[in-house]
Amino acid sequence: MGAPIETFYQVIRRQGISRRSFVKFCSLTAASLGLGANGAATVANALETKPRVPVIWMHGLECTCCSESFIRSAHPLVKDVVLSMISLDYDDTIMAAAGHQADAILQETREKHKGGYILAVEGNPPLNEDGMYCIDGGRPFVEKLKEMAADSMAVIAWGACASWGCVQAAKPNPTHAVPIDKVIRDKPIIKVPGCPPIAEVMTGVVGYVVTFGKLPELDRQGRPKMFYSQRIHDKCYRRPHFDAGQFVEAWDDDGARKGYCLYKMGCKGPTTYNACSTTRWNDGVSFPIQSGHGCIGCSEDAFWDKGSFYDRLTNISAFGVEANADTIGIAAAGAVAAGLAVHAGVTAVRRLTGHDENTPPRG
Amino acid sequence: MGTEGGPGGPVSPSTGEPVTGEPAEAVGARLVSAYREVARTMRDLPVYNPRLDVEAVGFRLHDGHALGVLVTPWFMNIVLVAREGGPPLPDAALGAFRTVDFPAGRVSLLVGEVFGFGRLDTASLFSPMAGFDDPATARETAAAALLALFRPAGRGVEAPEETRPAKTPDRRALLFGRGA
Repeated sequence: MGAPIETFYQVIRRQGISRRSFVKFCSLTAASLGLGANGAATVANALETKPRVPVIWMHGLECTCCSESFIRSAHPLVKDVVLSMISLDYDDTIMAAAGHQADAILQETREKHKGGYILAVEGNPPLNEDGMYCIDGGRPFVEKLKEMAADSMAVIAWGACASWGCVQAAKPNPTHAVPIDKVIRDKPIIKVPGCPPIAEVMTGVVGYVVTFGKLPELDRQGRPKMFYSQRIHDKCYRRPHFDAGQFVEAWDDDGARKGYCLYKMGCKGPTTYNACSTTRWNDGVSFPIQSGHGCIGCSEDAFWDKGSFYDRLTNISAFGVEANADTIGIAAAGAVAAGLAVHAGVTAVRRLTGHDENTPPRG
Repeated sequence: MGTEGGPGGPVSPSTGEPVTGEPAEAVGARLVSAYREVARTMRDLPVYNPRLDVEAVGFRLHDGHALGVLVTPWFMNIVLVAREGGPPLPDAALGAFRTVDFPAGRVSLLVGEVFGFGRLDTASLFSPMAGFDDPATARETAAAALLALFRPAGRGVEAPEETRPAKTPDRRALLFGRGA
């Protein structure tokens, strides 16, 4: 690579972060990644000995809510440490450099760390009119994106925009905005959907990649299994009300005041895979359902084109969602054939105990 | 479906201690009647599968509590509840999660309650139930889930071979010379 070898630990010490804080960061990261008892030591050892993985953060058509979420990561230390690493290279929203100087950093990183940097992409490229709907530094964003992706180690697709297209790709999509995997085809892409994604999920993904120098395990949709294998409906604290047939029937009715299930008000929890109901938001304070509003399914593909946020879900392919269509083809059949019942039951328990080897497909 | 592996008889299968109080099957029956009432209010919703019925599957004793799978036309849950005359469940707030260790691993149970029964701690296996065409398949799935819950992790969590589609190669069977 030709670049001087510098470890992540050296970088953050240079940024004025104490050894004590570093150790704490390691245990927080290990916890967020669900690593076992030795997790913190593993993380610390990796960060002390392995060369730092540079991160380039590019912005296409987006609203910057992913950055807003990320820099508000609940634990200030996580944010400080991860940001001190990222801002060293390139993020046009939060870095000090601007103009030609900023562009020069892109090229420098590309040359010095060829094949060794992470490209994090917030937003997506519009393809109509040769990409003219998103100009970055005088050139269509799609060109710069492809260029930077070509020499990266792996790509992180932040948010619903980069992962699925989000609002700018919603019908009729006048700019022909597309998710980044439509233009980056030869690199592994980690999709971290959500509008925005949860801060702890974002720092967890970055933490994993820089710690282990490899991608976390992904599901068939390209999402990290550790954060996107749980369905909101299954881990919602209001689920007992669903089971007991207790629903909010109108905003501010008695059921709403009692915290009943929001399914009838259009909650998309039964079709949404995300960590909101367990990790929650703002340092674990709350999440939309806890605040009295249904889930809008913002981490799911094409959530803007699935009708109103307040339309009641009527078609939930339950089995396709929860079981293991990879292995047993239930999604294709649409039902549990008699001989597959045992497998379905075993798979459901494996998911509960965290020994799920095959992530459920999206419904 | 009976109470395979765990009769609600005089001896607890998990501790070997003599058991007094309400049999596990009776708890299952009480749950069924509570959820049959709920079913009347769920009937018109799209999440209700009219081909299914409310049923308690495989209720047995577990550390003095009753454990089984509750199948309804809108969900299938593992359910852990206290028996009348048996030990109470550990204190926990409604809507809170608590973990319980089973041979297959640690399961996070959600603390809830239902009118006409009271507290029950549950883990969702399926919801809604559109994928199930008949009650027998739902019962079979529930029984298999319970068996899997009591099989040690790492061993036997694979589905029995005869239930696997023939075209799926079983590496374990191949390596250990089982099957073909």
